[in-house]
Amino acid sequence: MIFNVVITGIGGQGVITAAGLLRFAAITAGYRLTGADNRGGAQRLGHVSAVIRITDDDCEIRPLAPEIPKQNCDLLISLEASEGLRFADLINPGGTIVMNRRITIPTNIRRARLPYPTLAQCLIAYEALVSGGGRTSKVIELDADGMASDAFRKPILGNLIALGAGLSRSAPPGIVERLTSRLSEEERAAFDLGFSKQGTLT
Amino acid sequence: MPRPEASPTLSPFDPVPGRRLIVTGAGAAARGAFEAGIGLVTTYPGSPITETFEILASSENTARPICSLSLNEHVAFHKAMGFSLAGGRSLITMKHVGFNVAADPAHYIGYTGVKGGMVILVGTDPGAQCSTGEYDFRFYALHTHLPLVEPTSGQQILDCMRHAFEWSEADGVPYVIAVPAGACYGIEGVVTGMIEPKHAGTSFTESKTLTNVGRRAVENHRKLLERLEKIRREAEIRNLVQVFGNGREALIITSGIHLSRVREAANILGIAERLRIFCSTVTHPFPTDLLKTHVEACSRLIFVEDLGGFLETVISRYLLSLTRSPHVQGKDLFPAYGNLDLDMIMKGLANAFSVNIRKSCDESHTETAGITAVPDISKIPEIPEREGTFCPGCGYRGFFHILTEFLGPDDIMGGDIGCSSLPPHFSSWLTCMNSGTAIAAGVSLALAGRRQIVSMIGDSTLLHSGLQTLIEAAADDSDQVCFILYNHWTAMTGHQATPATPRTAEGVSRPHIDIKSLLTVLGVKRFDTIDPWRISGLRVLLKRVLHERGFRVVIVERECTLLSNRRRPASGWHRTYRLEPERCHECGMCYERLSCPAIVKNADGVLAIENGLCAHCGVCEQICPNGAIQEIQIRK
Repeated sequence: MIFNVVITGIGGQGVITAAGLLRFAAITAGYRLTGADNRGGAQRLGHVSAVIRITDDDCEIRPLAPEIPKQNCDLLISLEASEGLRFADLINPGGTIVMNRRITIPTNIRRARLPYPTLAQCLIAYEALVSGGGRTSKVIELDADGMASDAFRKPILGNLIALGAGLSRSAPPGIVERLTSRLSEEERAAFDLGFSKQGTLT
Repeated sequence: MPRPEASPTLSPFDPVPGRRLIVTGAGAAARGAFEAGIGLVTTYPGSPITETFEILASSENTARPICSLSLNEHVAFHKAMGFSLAGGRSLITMKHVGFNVAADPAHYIGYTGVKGGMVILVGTDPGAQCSTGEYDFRFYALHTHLPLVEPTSGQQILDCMRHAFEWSEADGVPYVIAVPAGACYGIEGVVTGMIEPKHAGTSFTESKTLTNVGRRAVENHRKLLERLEKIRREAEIRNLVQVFGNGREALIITSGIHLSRVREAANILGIAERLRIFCSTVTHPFPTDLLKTHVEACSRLIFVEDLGGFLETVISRYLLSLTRSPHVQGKDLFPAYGNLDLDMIMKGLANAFSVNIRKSCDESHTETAGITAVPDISKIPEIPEREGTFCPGCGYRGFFHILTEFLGPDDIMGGDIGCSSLPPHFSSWLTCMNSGTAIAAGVSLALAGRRQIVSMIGDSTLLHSGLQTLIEAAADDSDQVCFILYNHWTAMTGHQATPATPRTAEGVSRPHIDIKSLLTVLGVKRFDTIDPWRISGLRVLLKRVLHERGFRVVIVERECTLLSNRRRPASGWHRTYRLEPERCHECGMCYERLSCPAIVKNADGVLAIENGLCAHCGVCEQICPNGAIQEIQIRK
């Protein structure tokens, strides 16, 4: 079993924090782990992403590269709606996508006065990626920042809401239990909010 | 479901061996050095390897090594060398371009030898994701004559780091461990080992080999080459060669982080049975003796490596000595530039083995059997690159906004490394440390009087390598305005202090070099200081200094806002700004030209200031031509 995850967004959204929680849970549950962070844009509002590859195989016998092979990403969590589209070629047609309803137009696009994909365009693109084979769509669309602001007055907890929503649809056995057991009461509530509501299923 | 293990750990200093530590590659290196009981770590910070030093420096353990943040890599290298000559174990960490600065002593240390174990940890950057420039660092091994280690995983980074100090002591030379950015930022669960007591140094022994001149230099050279031959033979004993598979169609030679990529690619492509993979962790001197039987067994040889093709270059020389040379492929399959990732390795190998990559990928989808329709990603909108830019409140945003108002299209701006180099790149060039003022000095000799020439240098760069440049520029009266961008920290790499940092991160004043006094001593006659948050003052000053001739220095001083804002009380009244939509003419001055990330456009196209991001610098209020941005007080 290999479970491949990408969490992405922009600096300051808690991408690395969410990835760290998932990694710790996976190791605690006895899985092996590879992957890498791209933290280049952290604090400078640039692109941030984390690749998490979880396996129950022996990595000595069946090693995993730090990158996900094309069409093998089982769960994509895009905390900024457009950022996940950078990983379009990695998406497993049977995978799950979580799209946070938030677009931040890059400053280079502003200066050049260029068009930028809208939320609606992003959603259509994500649906096209995971509607293969006639299965029901697996895009979870939610306003994680808004939900976190309303429930906790802390928009930063949007990362846990999105993580909860994503793992509610698919996660290797034992991971959700390990993950939630380490959260504070408020973080747990945020994770559960995402896990139970799953945003708007499209 | 797998069987859970003993609880994993997040502490790189966990005293218990056998625990799984979740850590980056740079962090695994720190753990390995800690286990080896190093007495000293020196560095000049540089991505992707900064974290190794940062972790070691964060230890409160009594086994904490001396952690020395040096002015530059050249100084750091000598310091680590001296510590080793006195019998202690020392580590120097730097990025690949930092090694260029340390290259001078690095070309002596193999000749003089070392006493206590010494490791040179270099973060390389194929793809230049966090650097100005990429090059195949490994070629340095050929002319420094230093042994080179390329770990294949996070676990091997830890293990090699721990053992390399012993190898260094046994062989009398420092070991170089090269870790590419992809591995520095890679995250695994690595198994911890025992922590050795600290090797803090014993005594300094006089030795003739330390005077590397004339006939002695030649003798040292001879002995060093002998040592390398001994190290070449050690690879087998030290269990540093991994061979996978026994196929006869092709022998793949790879190294470092590419091993896991090659093995996964071979599995996905279904060619694992057809080949064998040879991977040595020590790639210089390369254990060619161990290669012989595999080369003879296979009809062709494929090198999988990035950039310049170090292995192909070195091993091809060996192949010429064989009676039958196999067919060799390498740089014809994998580009000699950029980062080599799994996808590119898949393509290269599919090409070499005439495998249909599309079909193999579809068959590898065991988890999603039954899904046949492949989505058409050609219709997915392309997402343009998202630049990282000055943080909200960064003094450089307002400074460059105003400076570029004064400069014409033909004027020349010399750029330097650091936060000032962040987009939107206004500078005319950006190469290495100290490139701003130093190159501008040459340009001004050619174009003096015909072009306005300004240059940038950060405070950390000034102390790294800029002092000599400033002395010369002042002595020559170089016709340029040199802006010293003084944000009090080496901010780009995570706020390391410099000798000119006036306050600690907590805000307590500390002894420091006064930049103005320093300039006086260097012979700079005309200098001014400006706060880049004060736009009208900035305009007045720029108008004056840009009108003058000769060497002028302006200290642009404002502490990095990320740090100063951390000291603000979390609650109470806060100054912030509000954008009045009815007064906004949508001229684009704040949203487009200043492009502060805290100024956002709502779904209905109206501009607003996002309070959570605003760092209340007030620059937008000062540049708005219609007074649409106003200061307000909010209670947090």
